[in-house]
Amino acid sequence: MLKYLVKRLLQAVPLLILITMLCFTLINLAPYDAMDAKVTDKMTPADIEQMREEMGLNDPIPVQYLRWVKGLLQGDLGQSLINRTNIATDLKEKIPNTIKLVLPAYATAFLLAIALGLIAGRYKNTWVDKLINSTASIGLSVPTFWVALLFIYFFGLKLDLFPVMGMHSLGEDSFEDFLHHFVLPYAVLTIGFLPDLVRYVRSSTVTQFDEEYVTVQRAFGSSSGTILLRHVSKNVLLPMITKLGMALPMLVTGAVITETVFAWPGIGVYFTTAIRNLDYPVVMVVLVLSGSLVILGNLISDILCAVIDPRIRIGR
Amino acid sequence: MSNLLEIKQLRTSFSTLRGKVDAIRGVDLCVRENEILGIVGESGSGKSVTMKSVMGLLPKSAKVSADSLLYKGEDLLKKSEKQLQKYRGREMAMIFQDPMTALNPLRTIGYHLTEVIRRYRKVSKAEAEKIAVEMLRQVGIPSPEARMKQYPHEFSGGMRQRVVISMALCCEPSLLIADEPTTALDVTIQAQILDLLKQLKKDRGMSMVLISHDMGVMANMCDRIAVMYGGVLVEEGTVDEIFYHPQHPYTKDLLRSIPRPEITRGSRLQAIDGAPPSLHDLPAGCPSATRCAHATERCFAEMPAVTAFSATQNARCHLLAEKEA
Repeated sequence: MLKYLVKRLLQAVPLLILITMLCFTLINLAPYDAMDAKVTDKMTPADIEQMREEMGLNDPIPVQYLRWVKGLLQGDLGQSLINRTNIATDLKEKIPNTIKLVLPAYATAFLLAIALGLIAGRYKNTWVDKLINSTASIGLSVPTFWVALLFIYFFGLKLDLFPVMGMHSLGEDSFEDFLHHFVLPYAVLTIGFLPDLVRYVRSSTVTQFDEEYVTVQRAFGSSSGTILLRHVSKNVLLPMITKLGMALPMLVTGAVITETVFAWPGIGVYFTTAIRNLDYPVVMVVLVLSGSLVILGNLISDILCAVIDPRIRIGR
Repeated sequence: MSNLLEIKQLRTSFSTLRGKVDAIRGVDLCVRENEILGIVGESGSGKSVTMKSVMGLLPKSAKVSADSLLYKGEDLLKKSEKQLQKYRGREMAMIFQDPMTALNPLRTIGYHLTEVIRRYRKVSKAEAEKIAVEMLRQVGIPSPEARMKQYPHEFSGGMRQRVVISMALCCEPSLLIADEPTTALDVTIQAQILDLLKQLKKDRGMSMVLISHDMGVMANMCDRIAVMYGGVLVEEGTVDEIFYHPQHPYTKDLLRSIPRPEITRGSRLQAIDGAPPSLHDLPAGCPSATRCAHATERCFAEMPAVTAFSATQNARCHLLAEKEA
């Protein structure tokens, strides 16, 4: 197991290098650089040239890249061009806010999806299944921001039940206040995550019920409830673990749109603002971060699978 | 010997996208106590569907009807799904063709067995495990204690079939239905599994229905044989009657097509010409008419009635009926 782990971690290194290279190259291909954010009317071309030299922007691209990566490795993520703030400090403040929103929403959607999917798959082609499945299909084709706007309109504006912006009221810091702000984006996000997961669990359940071992179990007197709970569900949950690992990057970038609509002070707003303002160090760091999380998530789900699925248990 | 299972005019149809398919068209069959009944026939002749209809194991798209379906004198057709469930396993268990897919890949062998045991007997988990180990030993699995903790993928096909058989034994059924239990296994393993089934039948005095397309297996195992074709029973008789005095032309063709070691090099295998009828488009008359060398116009037009030749042998053929009359 340990050998497998080390091997997988080592395999991740070149991928990570590739991600940083890609991010850096793409950003450098963009027709602007750090100077465009700093230049003011009062600067002479000579001043600008001097600043470029000082910031190292005249160095060859590989040199700049290595300098940047060296910074990343030492934990220096650089500075925002606009706010002059330390990006690492910013992230430390923003990421927890995003997690506070995404984690409960994804967990809710995940558990709900397992229940609904198993029920729909078990009662395939009955009205329960048709209700669940068609609702999921509709949900899948409805964009999140539209749901968000509807919620804002009805629950925020019409019924005036919940605030529609931010995480806290000004000057308030209580948990109740947080919850009050939390409800709408949480609901929207859960609805956003749910349909895909439900359909996944349902189709997986349907496939499992067609398996021969289900017929065998029936031939030995198992009730369909027993088969569902003791046999099918375990086979359905296994691929769900993979989904769980893959969802890891969502903790950072899973709610960009919802956060933006609700002005939730998480990564989403931070990231979109940075893009709008050509704040390229921020954009690069967020891209590298979410890319690394994809790799890490894959690794985690592989390991979880190996732990749970007896067929791929390693080192025996 | 009394009848354990008595099927009268069983009809099973499936509703498919291409319309209704009549898979079983009026089958009369009985299984006596302490006998092995063989059902033989080509693919799609309705062997498995007949027994799955009895067990209630067909998908929802299937419609099963019969004049009666008596098991130990009780009509299974009048039972609810819940009541039928009590029959499955405890009274009649079924083992299947493909042992590779018959077990849940994520559950240990021990789990499979103890689950079944504890469904029928009020025993503790430890006791159930003890019984399970004993069952595995009985079906010839070496070092059963260690095997209990293993998963299906750690077993070979033959060993998995033994596991499924031991699951069936845990239920102590009166009737074991074996649906091509050796078709997916190689020949040496086939013989072992068949010997095992025969031994178990002898030791426990249970009845068995053996479904196969292998006439050799039939000769070896069965007391009586039923030949199915196109959803009907074309001939039925004891092993000796079927093998030494076959009446129906189809049965004769079937026996002729068994490969024999004495066939010399260069001579051709005897195959039955043509193909079985499509269930979507069944002929009105005898299902085997298109492949029968003796078929008359009547054979194509009209389903033959059953002609009895002895207390145990009967066949469905116009020509035989005319000869007898």
